Formats: sequence, structure tokens, C-alpha cells
Amino acid sequence: MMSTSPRKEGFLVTLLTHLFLFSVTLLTLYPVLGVIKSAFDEQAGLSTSLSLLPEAFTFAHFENLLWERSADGTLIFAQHLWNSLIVSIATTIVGIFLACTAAYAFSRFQFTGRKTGLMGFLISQMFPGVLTLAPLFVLLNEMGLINQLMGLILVYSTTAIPFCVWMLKGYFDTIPADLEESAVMDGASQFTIFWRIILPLSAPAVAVTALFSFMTAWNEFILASVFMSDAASYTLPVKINSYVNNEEIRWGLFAASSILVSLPVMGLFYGLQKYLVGGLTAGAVKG
Amino acid sequence: MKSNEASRLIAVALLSACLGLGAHSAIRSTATQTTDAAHWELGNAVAIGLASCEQEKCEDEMIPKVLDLLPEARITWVEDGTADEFGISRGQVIARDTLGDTGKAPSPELAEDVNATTSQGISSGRRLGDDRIRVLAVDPGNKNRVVAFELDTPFRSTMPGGWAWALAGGIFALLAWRKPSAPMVRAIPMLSGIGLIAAGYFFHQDMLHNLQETSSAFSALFGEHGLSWNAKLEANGLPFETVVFGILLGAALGSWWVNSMEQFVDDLRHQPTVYAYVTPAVLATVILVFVPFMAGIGLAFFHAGPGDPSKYVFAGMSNFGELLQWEAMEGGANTFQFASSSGETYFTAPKFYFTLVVTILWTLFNVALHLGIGLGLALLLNRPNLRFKKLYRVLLIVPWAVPSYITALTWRMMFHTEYGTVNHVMAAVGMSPVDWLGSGESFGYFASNFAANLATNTWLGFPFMMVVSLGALQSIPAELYEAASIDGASRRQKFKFITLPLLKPALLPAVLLGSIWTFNMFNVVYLVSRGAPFGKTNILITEAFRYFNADKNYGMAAAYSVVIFLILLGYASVTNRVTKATEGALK
Repeated sequence: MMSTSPRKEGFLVTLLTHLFLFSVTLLTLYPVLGVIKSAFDEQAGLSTSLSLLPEAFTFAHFENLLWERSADGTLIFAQHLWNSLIVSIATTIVGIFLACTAAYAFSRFQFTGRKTGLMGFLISQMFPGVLTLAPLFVLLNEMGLINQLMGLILVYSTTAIPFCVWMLKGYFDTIPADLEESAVMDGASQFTIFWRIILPLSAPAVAVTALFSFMTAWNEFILASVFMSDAASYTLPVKINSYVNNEEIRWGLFAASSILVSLPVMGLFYGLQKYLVGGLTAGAVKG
Repeated sequence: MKSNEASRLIAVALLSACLGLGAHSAIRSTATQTTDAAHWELGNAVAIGLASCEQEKCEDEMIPKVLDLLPEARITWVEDGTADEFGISRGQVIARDTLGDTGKAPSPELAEDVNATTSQGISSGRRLGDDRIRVLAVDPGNKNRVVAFELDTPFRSTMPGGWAWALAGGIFALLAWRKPSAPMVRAIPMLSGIGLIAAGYFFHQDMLHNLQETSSAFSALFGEHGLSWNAKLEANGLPFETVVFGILLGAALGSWWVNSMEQFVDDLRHQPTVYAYVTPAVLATVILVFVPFMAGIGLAFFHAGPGDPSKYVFAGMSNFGELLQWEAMEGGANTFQFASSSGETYFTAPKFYFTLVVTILWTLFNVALHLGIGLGLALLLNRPNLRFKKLYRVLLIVPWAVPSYITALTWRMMFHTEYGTVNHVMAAVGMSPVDWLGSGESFGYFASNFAANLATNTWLGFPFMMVVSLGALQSIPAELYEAASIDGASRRQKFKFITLPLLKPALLPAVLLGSIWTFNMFNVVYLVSRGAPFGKTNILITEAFRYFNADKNYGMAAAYSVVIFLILLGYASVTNRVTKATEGALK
């Protein structure tokens, strides 16, 4: 077997490979399919069968989720979805803007404080989040940003900056300098070069950075649960966690909302995943 | 180059000395200044109060109350303390001294003070030592009767001694000597410097708070006797010396870091746009990441006040002492114990070290599983004539795309004893159900909870390794294998001499990155086992959060986080030496 070349591979080996890959894939997808089953099953999570088909099909969980209203009549899910969208989109825009500009300077120019800045960004990645929780709370409180979406936006975008800067810088480094030199010959300004040449060429890296910022904000729940005490300013993760964290586990609501929350990030992820590894390794390995 | 290194070294040594002496003297002198005035005032008020009240009432009521508030104080009555013409006191202690020296003649020093007081008319005072003062007051009803009141000015001596700072300075200098450009050498003086400034600030606030409490207690006590005392204390922000010290330190570090201010100003003049590009990101990160981080380090040296938990009291290194406590005692708060079902304890371990070991095992197991499964699948998927390759790949990275908190909560449900899929599968193959996420003293509960966490995180993490490995495998040129085949290499030889060596550069950073992610993988542990049983499956980061969230012990949470940070910093600097990954990027 050891000496057979790939071309001569027998039917049995191919079959075994497929069988193995198929079972691993099934194992991988089982938890996800289980959640989907629960979302459409009257029994929700309380079924004892291993089948992936709902025993009694229903849309009730989605209906309950979408039409649940708070005491003053607002649609709870819509409100939290809106909060999450605002926070995630604003985080992405702010984070991209800050990270792109800084990464461009770090990549293209030699200036005093450059090494320090890059090193500082790197070290800040090792700060345990718990350490900054209490001071951040005090800081946001002083600024009147507790229970405000603005507070979360600021915190999320700044915590994402260092990683994004390193990743983007790694990508910018791979763009040959000749392009800019010829643009300078043609009389282009620094900003034009950045805006017209560098940014369009690094669209994949920018997209990955955007994905990263968006996912940071969309999936985060610890900071959100510490800084948002008012149920009206909850983001979706905080709400979803509360479905299964209380005494009474609302498994149907959890499953239904998990699907709705995962769909956009999974869509983005699959749309951008071919850039993901390249972006990650360019930033981490090559620099 | 050589002179550059030498100047750096001198800068580090100077900075360290400046750091030690500056911090020590700044905090100490501020503390002294602020509290001394207040203590003199307090002593004066108490002495006058004691001198003017009736002797019996004093002894029965006032003295116990004063001693209750200031247990270390000493009260002495001296009667007939008038000086004769030679200035020698004929005074005699007639009232009960709080130390029981009743009836003895006063010390010459005390007698001298008594004489000075009676001749001046109302009151006088003397400093007895670094931390003690004495205030004397004359009884308005009997000019020959004087009360001497001794009390501590405690804050003069509570700061750790200068030798500790000198030692710290020596260590920095040593580090600088060994490797002047190491990031540690740059980071530590600055971090600790700013931490010290924060500590000084909180320390100052805390003194004011304590004094205000004492003040109101004494006002209440003397209120009945028609005398009120209120120390004029204002929380006037950062103490002046601390600010000056901070500015000096900042300037020194700044000039050292950018090598020369001149060059910085030059750069700023010639390429202002560059700084315009960088400033927004740097500013935002400094305000919302670095400043809270420094404040957090400062917080590690404080704990909640005994009376008022919202007020933080300087605690020195006591949080770290408590955290790193090594002795394991059965039933102790800092001890994990394992007991058999009959209740017999068979193993005890100090909490922090147990959690540290759990975290290391957690990281090792996870990274090994991620790498093993990921690389294995990548090798299978990379087979040349495999069909549905793309489909498998798309489906296998689903766990990466799903938000990790949803994964964790789902898996928690899958490990449910009654409704969980895992037990259903086990029942289907004839095994008895396991109480995976249950809680109990036996080792089995720890193992099952840990296994549940591990299973969840393995599911979560292998796709990343698979994708990285696949990318690296695909970048290996096929000609290499063809050439090897021509030379008659076996498949194993090809794997060993071509695949593995060429995979290494891509896999090493991924493994390092993955190990740091796993080390801090908060969501899985926090949401799946929730630390059960009794916090034993907590890793460092979730344990720190437990201190923050459940115990509301922010000082301990901060101390814990500082330890985590130091561990990660150490790990990163070791691995950095191995990979040299960042060095290339900084060129």
C-alpha cells in the first residue's frame, strides 16, 4: 500500500476515504442540524429521538420569537436586532476607517514611533479583557455611555483595531511600491494614492477586516451584558444567552433565534472565506 | 550602534532609579502632607475635648470611645505641671494613663512639653517619631492640669520601603543589560510607572476617605460634649508630586522611546500627513484600550473597603499574595478538594495552581486535537482525484462560521443528562447515561465536565487548522513529489521529507495563534461547563471573570488578569524568539 502511487489507487481506498469523510462531515453538521430540527419541532429540545426530522413540524417558535412584545408594546426581537445591526455596522465602519489609515502609514512610511506603535498594538492583543472591564465601565459611565449603543461601538471598534491594523499592514506590504511611484510621477497626491490605488487593490484584505470587525460586534456578549443593564439596549447575543441561562430553558426560542442570528454572519463568512486564511496568515506570518 | 546600546542602558538604569525613588517619595510625601495636617487637627480637638470635660465622665465615657476609634492612642493627665524658676517640672501623673503607668513621674520630655503648654495657655504639640505625634491641652478650669494625647499618623509608614523599588530598578537594569532592545524592558518600566501613578492616586483618595470617616466619627463623639471637629479635607484630584513625577517619567520614556525628540519633531514637520493617518487609531486605542489597562493594573493593588465596599482601599501586594497562596487546606477558600462518594477527601490542591494546570492541559489537548484532526482531514482532502472535495470543505468549515456562543450553548444542551444527544447516542449503543455537566466532589465530575468543554472546543477549532493546512498543502509544488517519485521515494518518505518540512512555516504561526486563542477561550468554558464542579474546570480567564462578575471582587479580578497577562507575555516572547515572526514585520 505504501508504495502505490495515487494514480493506481483502488476502488476500496476511494470508498473508504469517502465513507470516512462522510461520517466526519455528518458528525460536524449534526449539532447544527439538531438546532435546525429543534427550531421547527413542537417538542423543541425535549425530544429523545436521534432523528434529524422534527416529530411535529411547526413555525410556532419563530412566530413567538418575532412577535414577542415587551410591556410597552415594542417588538423585542426587532428591537434587539436593530441594536445589534447598528452596533455591528457602526463598529465595522469606524474600525475599517481607523485600521486602514493607520495600517497604510505603518506599511508605507518610515517615521519616528512606528516600531513602538506596531509593538504596542501587538502587546495590546495580550491584555486580558477582564482587566479592562472595571476601568472601562468607569470610563463609559463618566462619558454617560452606559446603556448607550455608542459605548459598545467605541469599545468594539477599538478592541478590533490592533488585529486589523496588523492584518491590513501585512497585506499592504505585499503591494509593490512601483505602482505608487508611477502614480507620483503622474502627479497624484498621497491621499489619492491611498484612496485610488492601495484601497481598491487590497479589497480582499479590507473585506476580511470588515468581516472580523462585524463578527466581533455581532457575536460579543460579555461586554454587552456588563455595559447594558437596560433590556431595551440589549444586543442579540445577550438576549439569546438569556433564553437558556435562566431557570426556565426556552429551547425553541433559542434554536429559532440562533438560526436567524447565524445566517448573516455565515453568509458573510462564506462570501469572504477564501480571503480569510490568506489575510490571517499574511498578517501573522509574513508581516 | 555600540553607543546607541550604551545610551539605552544608561537610560534604563536612570529610569529605573527615577521610577523607584520618584514613586516612593511622591506617594510618601503626599500621604504625609495630606494626613499630617489632619492628624494634628484631630489630636488638638481630642486633647481639648478631654481637657475640658469632667474627669469622671472622661474616664468612663470619652476615653473608651476615643480608644475605640484610635486603639493605638495614649492619654496622660499631668497635674501641677508648672515649672519652677529653674525650668524643672515638678509634675506628677495622677490620672490613669492608658498604658497603666499611673502615679509615675512624667518623662523629662513630657514634662518639658507640659511646661511649654501651661506657659502658652491653650495647647501645643510635638512630633515623637516618623509616625507618632503628641498634642497637649490645658484644662480651662484648672490651669495646672494638662492632657497629653499621643496618636499615630499611620499613613507615613504604610508604603512599602524604598528597597523594594530599588530592587525593581536593579531588575530592569539587569534586563536591559541582557537584552537592551527586548520589548519587555521597554514595556515594564512604563506599565509599572503608570500603574504606580494610578496606585498613588487611589491611595491618596483612600487616605482622604479614611480621614473623612474618622472625622465624622469624632464629630459625632464630641458633638455630645459641645465640641466638633472637622478636618478640612478636599479630594483635590491627583496629588501634585505624583503629577510632576508622572510628567517627568512620561517625558523620559517618550524621549527614550523615539530615540530623540528632535527626530520626532523633524518627522512631524516634514511628513505631517503620516501622523494624520496614524493618530485617530492610536488615540482611540490609547484611550479605550491602554488607559483602562493601566487603570486595571492599578486596581490590582486595591481591595474593597471594609466599611464601604464601593470605596477601594490600598492593599499593596495582598491580592497577589492571596491569589498565589500555595498551602492547600481542606475546606479552605483557596483550595479545591476531591472526595469519594462516601465523603472522604483524597486530594486537595491550591486553587490558582490547579486552575493553571487545567488551563495548560486545556490548551495542549485542544491544540493537539485541532492540529491532528485538521491536518488529517486536509491530507485526505488534498488527494488528487478526490471527488466532492469542494463540498466537503464547505461543509467542514461550518463550525468556524457559527458564532461561538451559539455553538457553546448548543453543546451544553447536547450534554444534558436527560434530553442531550450525547446520552441518547450512548443509550443507543447500550451504554448507561452520564451526568456530564453535573456537580460533585469526586474526580469523575471534573473529568466529565472537562471532556464536555474539550469536545465543544475541538468541534469549534479544527476547521481553522484544516483550512490553514489545506492552503499550505496546496502551495507545495507538485514537481517536488514527481521528482521524488522518479527517485523512487516511498509515500512515507515523501510525507516526511517534503510535506512536513514545507508545512511547518505555515503551521507554526497557526499553532501559536491557536494556542493563545485557546488559552483565552472564554466562551466555551463559561457557557458549557460554567466552571462546574465548583469552579474546577474554570480556566484562568473564566476564573478571573468569576471574581469580577460573581464575587464583585474587582481587585482580585485585576490581580488575576495581571498574572494572565504576564504568562501570555512570557509565552509570546519565548515563541517570538523561536519564530522571529514579528521581527521581520518590524523592518
